[in-house]
Amino acid sequence: MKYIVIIFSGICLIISLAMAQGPKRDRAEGFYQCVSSNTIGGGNTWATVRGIGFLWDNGPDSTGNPRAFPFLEVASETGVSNFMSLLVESRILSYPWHKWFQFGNIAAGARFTVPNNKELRFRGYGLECKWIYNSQPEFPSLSGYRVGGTGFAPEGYIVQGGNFQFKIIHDMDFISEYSWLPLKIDLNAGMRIPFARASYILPQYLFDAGLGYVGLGFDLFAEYSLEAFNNLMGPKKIVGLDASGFQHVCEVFFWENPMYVTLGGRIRYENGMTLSGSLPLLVSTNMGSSMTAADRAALANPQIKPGDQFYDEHLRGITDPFDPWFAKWKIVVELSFPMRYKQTGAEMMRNFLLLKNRKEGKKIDIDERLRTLETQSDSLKNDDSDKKRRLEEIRKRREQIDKGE
Amino acid sequence: MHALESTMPIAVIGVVLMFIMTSGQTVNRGRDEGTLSIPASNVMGNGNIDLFIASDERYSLSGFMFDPILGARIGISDMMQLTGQFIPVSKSFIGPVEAHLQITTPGNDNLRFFGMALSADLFLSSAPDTLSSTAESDKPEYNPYLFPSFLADLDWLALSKLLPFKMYLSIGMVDNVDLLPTYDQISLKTALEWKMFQHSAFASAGAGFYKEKSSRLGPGDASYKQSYFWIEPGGRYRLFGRFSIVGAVKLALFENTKENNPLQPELFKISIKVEAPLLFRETNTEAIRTLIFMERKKEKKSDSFEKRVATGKNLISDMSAALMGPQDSLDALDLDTKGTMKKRREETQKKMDEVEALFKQLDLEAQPKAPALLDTASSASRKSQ
Repeated sequence: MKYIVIIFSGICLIISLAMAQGPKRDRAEGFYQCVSSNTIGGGNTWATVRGIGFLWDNGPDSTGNPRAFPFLEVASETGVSNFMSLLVESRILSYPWHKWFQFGNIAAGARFTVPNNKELRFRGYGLECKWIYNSQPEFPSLSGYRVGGTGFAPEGYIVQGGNFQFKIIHDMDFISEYSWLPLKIDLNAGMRIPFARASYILPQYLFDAGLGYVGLGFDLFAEYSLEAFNNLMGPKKIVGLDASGFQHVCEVFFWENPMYVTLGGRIRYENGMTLSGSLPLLVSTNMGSSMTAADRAALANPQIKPGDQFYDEHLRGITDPFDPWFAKWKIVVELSFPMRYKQTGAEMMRNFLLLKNRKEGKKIDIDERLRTLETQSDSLKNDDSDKKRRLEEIRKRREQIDKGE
Repeated sequence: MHALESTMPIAVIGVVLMFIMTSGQTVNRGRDEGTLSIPASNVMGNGNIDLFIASDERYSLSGFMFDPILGARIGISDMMQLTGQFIPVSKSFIGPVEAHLQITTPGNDNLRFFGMALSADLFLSSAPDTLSSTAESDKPEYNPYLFPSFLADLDWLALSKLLPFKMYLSIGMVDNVDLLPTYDQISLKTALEWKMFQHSAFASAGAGFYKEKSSRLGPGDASYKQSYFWIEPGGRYRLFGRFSIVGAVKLALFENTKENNPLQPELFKISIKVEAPLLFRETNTEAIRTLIFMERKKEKKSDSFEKRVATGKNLISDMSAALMGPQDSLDALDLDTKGTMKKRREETQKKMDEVEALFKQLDLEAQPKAPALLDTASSASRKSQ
């Protein structure tokens, strides 16, 4: 009951805040994974709280057998100048272990853009660099493919300890060229490079592409995100990803990398607060053997011969199968709000263009409408009574004439 | 802390009561209100938010099932809305999560006779799929399903105030969410709703067609060979003019199942749903509907305005005209009608002028012959001169 009351009070507070002030817009707003090249504007600070949830189940490797995984993340961005901002973010609640939530990670970094960020530009370029420290020592993994805090988690491949991540950002903001076309395309490409070294620790290539409608009160977007090993030209072998120390070998094809298509939307309130919802849906597909008992047995069969299933994998030295058994879907809810805000020129221009092109629906004031109709009715009645009076006089005169007066 | 916990519920009740009291006696009727199983083609007003809580008590050959449902709807623009709902407690730990993005045709902000909408329906299944090629009993998959659906409705009140009825049609590819991992489905639904000022009554009917999917257990069905037909009478009761309680009873009338691994459709279902608007702004559509309902109460008065309103159609024309641009209700009439009325008025005026001129001429001609007919005031004035 206590939690319901707190949540209810929170919702009331948020709504009252949302209805209180004028329009504000985050210059650095991207989509879910796609990062915008724009920085937030000098002196501005924006905070974000994000909740993520999905269902996944691997009983043997998830102590306590959880099926529903909730996560909590916080983030903030502060503008140092008009072309640079500082980022701090953390996954506060991550994968539970022994039914207790663990602290996930902390990240800090900076985003830079070219100096014309003050203007509403068609093409934007930027660079984002982050240091990420993954601290959780345990997590449920795909068929136990992990060593401590490194391996395949339901959301993708993670490496315990320090990582350096960078993204080169390019975006196209069509409203700056065509005021009637509030579309935006974001493209990010980068890498995540772990500091630790081991045969099973690998860098990942990151790619995100998003298309979004960025409106006055709401946004809609769809994006594709990929975290790939170096396996575009052929499968990547991963050796020794087993806590028991057994040097098992599996391979990951390009189409088995964690890749998601995300559908999402964002509602923007006048005080700048935004409420976003995103649904990442897994689009990875299995190639070759899958992590089922039958496929494992087929791969481990010492009598395997040419023509048998997975014989080619056996020849390549694969001892264990792999398939993209990542979370098939996730739900992401995000609340973002300004802590310190000064309107940037670019976003003021965006608001102006959106307002200029807005087709405002006409509203009816019923009371006013009734008054108008009643006035019309009265004038009609007056008109009618005048006509009646004149007709009555005509009738009287006709009677007088008929009587020969 | 205990004192805080004990006062919190009172505070919540107080806030809710304040909401109710401040809401006044107006009816907060959502444009998107349909029956329990078929949503209207209209979407909510931009920025409006509804919360709802529902429960489904279902009976099939596999036994009784109870599903509590929590959800919310939000109007994203004047022609789009997003609905999300989930079952927090279920036999399989948590129930399916659903999201529906509905886009309707223009004219949504008016009392339109025919409306239609397309909806993208996303179902995030919480039923473990252990039959797909890469799944096993200890390696289940929780799959998402994305389908389109089509909605259409006829709002007869837009034609005549004497017909406060709405008819619905829905065509989709999901009849039972729980069976999505095992069956391809087609769902046809139709309904008739009698809308009153606050409440409404409806009757729905539909059919579900099922085709078993191929899996590791078998090749599946070649066609939609299993089906069932149902009816669902129900109603909407509005509390304090603000909260809606929607209830319905679904009954399977006829089923056609195969002998081997037969479909187990819902034979009986009782559904209750409570809808509460969190953020509500009246839409033009429902303002017009309210106005028509209110005007019906004044039918007994018989001045010309009331007579004109009583036809209902004129009022709708006026309101439509106000929405579409012209502020004068006369502009809402078609050009022929306006032309005819104007011509008739001019002719009448002309004839009356002619008759009055003739009378004046008669008076002038009669003056020298009958001075006695001159009024006393004229003669008095002459005398004074």
